[in-house]
Amino acid sequence: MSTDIASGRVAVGEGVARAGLFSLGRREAWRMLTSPAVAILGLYFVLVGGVGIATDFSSLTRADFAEILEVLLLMFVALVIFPAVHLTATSARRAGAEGQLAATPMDALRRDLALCLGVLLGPATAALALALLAAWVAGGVVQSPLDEVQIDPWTGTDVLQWPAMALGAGILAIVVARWLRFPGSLLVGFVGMVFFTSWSVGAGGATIPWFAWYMVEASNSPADTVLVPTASIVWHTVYLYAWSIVGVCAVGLRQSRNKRPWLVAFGLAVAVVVAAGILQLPPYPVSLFQ
Amino acid sequence: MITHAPALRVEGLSKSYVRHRALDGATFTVQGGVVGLLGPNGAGKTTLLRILATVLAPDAGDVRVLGCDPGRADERLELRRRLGYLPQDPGFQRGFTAFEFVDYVAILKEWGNRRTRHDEVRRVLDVVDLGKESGRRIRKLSGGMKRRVALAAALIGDPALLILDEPTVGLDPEQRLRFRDLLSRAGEGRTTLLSTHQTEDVTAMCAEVVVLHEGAVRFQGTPQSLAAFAEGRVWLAPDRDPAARLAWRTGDGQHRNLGDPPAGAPTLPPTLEDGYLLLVGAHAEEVSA
Repeated sequence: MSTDIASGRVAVGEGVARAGLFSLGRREAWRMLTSPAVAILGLYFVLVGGVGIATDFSSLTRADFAEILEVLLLMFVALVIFPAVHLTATSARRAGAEGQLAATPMDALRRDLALCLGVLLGPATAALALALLAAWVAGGVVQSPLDEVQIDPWTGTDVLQWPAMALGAGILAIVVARWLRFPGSLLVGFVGMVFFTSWSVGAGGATIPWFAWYMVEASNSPADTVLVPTASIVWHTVYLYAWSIVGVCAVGLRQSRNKRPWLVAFGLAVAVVVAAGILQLPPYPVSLFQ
Repeated sequence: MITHAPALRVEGLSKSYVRHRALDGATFTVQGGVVGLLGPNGAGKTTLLRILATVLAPDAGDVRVLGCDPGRADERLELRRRLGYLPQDPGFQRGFTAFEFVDYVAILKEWGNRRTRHDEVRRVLDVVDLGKESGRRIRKLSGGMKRRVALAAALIGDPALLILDEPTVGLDPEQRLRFRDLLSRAGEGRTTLLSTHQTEDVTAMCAEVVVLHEGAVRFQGTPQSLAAFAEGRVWLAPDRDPAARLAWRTGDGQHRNLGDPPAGAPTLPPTLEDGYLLLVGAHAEEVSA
């Protein structure tokens, strides 16, 4: 065996499988799921739901439970995941450990791509598990005893929307962490996400309907008391996931020295968002039904 | 076959911040071994080490570390795989235990296999005598223990080059002694570049010393040759001698004077610190390295 004293080529990592993004992504996923933000906010939301269930426990039906689960997922998944991922993404900066980590083979771009992968492996997978639970609960409901509650059996596409939301919130948190590098960016991003979502389902959605982040529900049931337009859930799902890809490209644009491929990918992802956003709409104006 | 290419080669290295020129044409070559980097505050030591550790890009100059050019992406990656870096103020993510932190750094150093990686983490924690403390939260460890955790992270993978930025600062004498012993052992069989204010650290650990002052290399040689720079120029007197360039009162009430002694004054054997102070202290002298 030859030894180059200067380069020490026998020293490091030889015979050791090189860790890829997956190893780091898995570690980051675990850090996100065990973040204090998940524990605190998760406990709060479980308590909110628990109180709701406990209050009317005697009259609670399976449909009610399915609705509570759906509302909890719909309202709170992003609110829990955003701070957890942001705290994970900024932990090295807040701890002053960036210099140390910068001297390792995993450069900033690979570390951030691993974070994005971590969102997929951690929060998005957890959201998928919760969605499957909700689908299982809702699947047992044929007809709600209450007129205002209509639980349709969930399709696979329905289930895929919840991880999409978790993924979107997590990727957005990484984008905010990288592009807004100042203390308090967590709060700014969090409030911005809540306000933008509120705007998009209200005035924003009416003005630019394809821009809406909400699901335009498909329903042909005559039992519905609220008339909603029929739209493509598949394209809506594509639309949601495409937003996450836009976010990953925004992270790549920030961290990569070679911006051009990331810029091209960013443009393509935006094009997919616009196309899927238009294709998800019904063939008649949404405003007619609002 | 053994080759002897220099471990570090730095030529005309310059780096400026907004209002400050941190490095001004620094040039030196290191073949290997444990090398001390001495210099006063603001001399450019940390900037130099950050450049060598690939954390910072220089404005000008040529750098070769372990034969690699840190300016080229492929060579920088190769270099990072053979490098261990302990920054001046190592930071630790909140909530990590010592094991978790070192394991995290091991992943960043591309150790993929979980079992092999954990074995390596345990090994380096044992090297720094933290094997029994590995499960403790870092925020609950003492300053010296935290530095040892950071050193363990730098030692992952038995790197060919160790870059240590003031590793003994803030440690009490016993901790410093332990750390010196640790670094001496860690420095065996590899190149170690050690930045410090402490001349005792250099005397105790280094075979070679580089003195950096105002962004340029003022001296490179053995600790003995740096001490010899003050040969015949150290003397004791009851009072501060006007002829002295530097003088300070010692514990026994005498004044230790550095400079050109008056005729007939008995001189003392110089220490490394005497040579260093004459080199970079007030009215610093030029020396040909």
